[in-house]
Amino acid sequence: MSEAKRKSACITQEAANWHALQRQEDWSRTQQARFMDWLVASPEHLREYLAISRIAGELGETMRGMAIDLDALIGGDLTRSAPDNVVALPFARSLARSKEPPRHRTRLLRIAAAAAILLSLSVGMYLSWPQSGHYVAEHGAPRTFELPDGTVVHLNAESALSMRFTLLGRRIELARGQASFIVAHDRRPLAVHAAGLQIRDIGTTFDVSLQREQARISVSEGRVRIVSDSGEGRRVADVRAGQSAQVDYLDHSISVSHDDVETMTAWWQGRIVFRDEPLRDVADRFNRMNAVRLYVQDAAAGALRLTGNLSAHDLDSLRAFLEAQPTLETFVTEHAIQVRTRTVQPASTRRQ
Amino acid sequence: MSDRRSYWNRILGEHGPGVTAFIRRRVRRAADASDLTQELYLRLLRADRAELIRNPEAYLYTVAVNLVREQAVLDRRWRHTVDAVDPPGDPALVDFRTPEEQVDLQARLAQAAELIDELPAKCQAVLILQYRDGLSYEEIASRLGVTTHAVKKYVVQGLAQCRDRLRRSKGGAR
Repeated sequence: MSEAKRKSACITQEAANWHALQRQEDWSRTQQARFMDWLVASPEHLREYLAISRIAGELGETMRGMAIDLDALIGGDLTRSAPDNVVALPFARSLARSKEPPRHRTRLLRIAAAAAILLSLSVGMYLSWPQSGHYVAEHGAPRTFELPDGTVVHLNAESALSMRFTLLGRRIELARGQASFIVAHDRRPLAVHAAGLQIRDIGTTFDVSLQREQARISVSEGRVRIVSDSGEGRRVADVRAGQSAQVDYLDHSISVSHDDVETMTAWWQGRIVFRDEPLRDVADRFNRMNAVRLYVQDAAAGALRLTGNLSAHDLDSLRAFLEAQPTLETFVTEHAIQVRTRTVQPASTRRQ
Repeated sequence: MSDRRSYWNRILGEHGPGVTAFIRRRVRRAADASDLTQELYLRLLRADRAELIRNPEAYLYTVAVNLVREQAVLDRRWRHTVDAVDPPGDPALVDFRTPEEQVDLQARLAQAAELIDELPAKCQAVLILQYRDGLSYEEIASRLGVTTHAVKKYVVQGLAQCRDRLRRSKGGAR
């Protein structure tokens, strides 16, 4: 018992020591490396370091609110600097989105009605003739439309797909970007082809996103089967509702994670939701939507995995979010936000 | 006067809510808490070392803050606050304090005040100059007429003593 106590007291001492060293001005690479070695040597070390950080944080928070007579403590003459720790939160200015004029809507309705009539007239032809189409969504302009079979497609900005429906099957090809499919029930199977993969399904809702190094397939309803598009059609994975599969482009290696359905479909409402995703992919998603581009300046920043939920058009919030990451810093240039790894600035260079 | 603040104060000032949220959270819910630390530990092990060494502490907090946010998204209790119209910047963290956590925090701050009170006078002065006034070790050293080495020792002593007291008052619980 006392042995365990002595050991934990020793770890406490070490943790406090590293914590204090972090606040020293000359803090070399070698020391940083030794600190990392210590920190990951055991979960106990990490735990203790966090406990010390918490105490330091709470002491700081408490002292900032306390009127302490320093003179009495050290008996010297002190000019007290006023605590300057009230930081105003930047308020988000969400872009006012122009509402679609109702006139436009009724026209759309009329077009839709006309399309429906045409569709019912052409049922006979529909069954015997192949149908094909090509759809593109430009930068900043995601779109939603219905395919002839009733399947609804959300096509993200900077994305393109083509479809070919025949008597025997429904084939969709995602050439680039991201699309969600709310698949209409039909006796013909539907398959989405993308990046050498085939996502097969019968009556479900799923999303395919072509990211930098991987394809991401998220299922919000039902179930899909992913097979390799080449030759023998090897099965890669079955993905159920609430799951996301990330398939590597090179070797088709796969990792499946659980995801909220709301997270998967958030982009339909113009939100960008990411969970443990590298910044470079997050940046790609923002850049599809905005004229102001987000540039990631170094690989370390690009690889940083982040979690957040932001409006796709609210660049102020995006910037505030990035600035809140301890390892990142941002600055604004014309039509761009630059983000990079924060350079370590020892206290000495920060003072006047 | 942000340039007068030390690096630590800057980290605390800007990232304090996130970091303390992480730490508070592991305190409040013991089962999840150990998972969270465990997950953080695994992520540190997986991380690229070169990147870690560049600025280990900031990296640690970045991973921690994002982990908390992930947890908040996953946690059903928080889903409403996360999915509703968000406050600027950082939804998960701004809405992070529930009333009970607020009370918990008040209790902790009161406890911290007691802990400070129990420290030796020199120790108190050093911590105040560092955490409240944001002075560097050198500045504190010249103010108090001691070496920077001594200043660091007071900081270590103060923190370790507070930690020990806390551990003892909770009967070994963290």
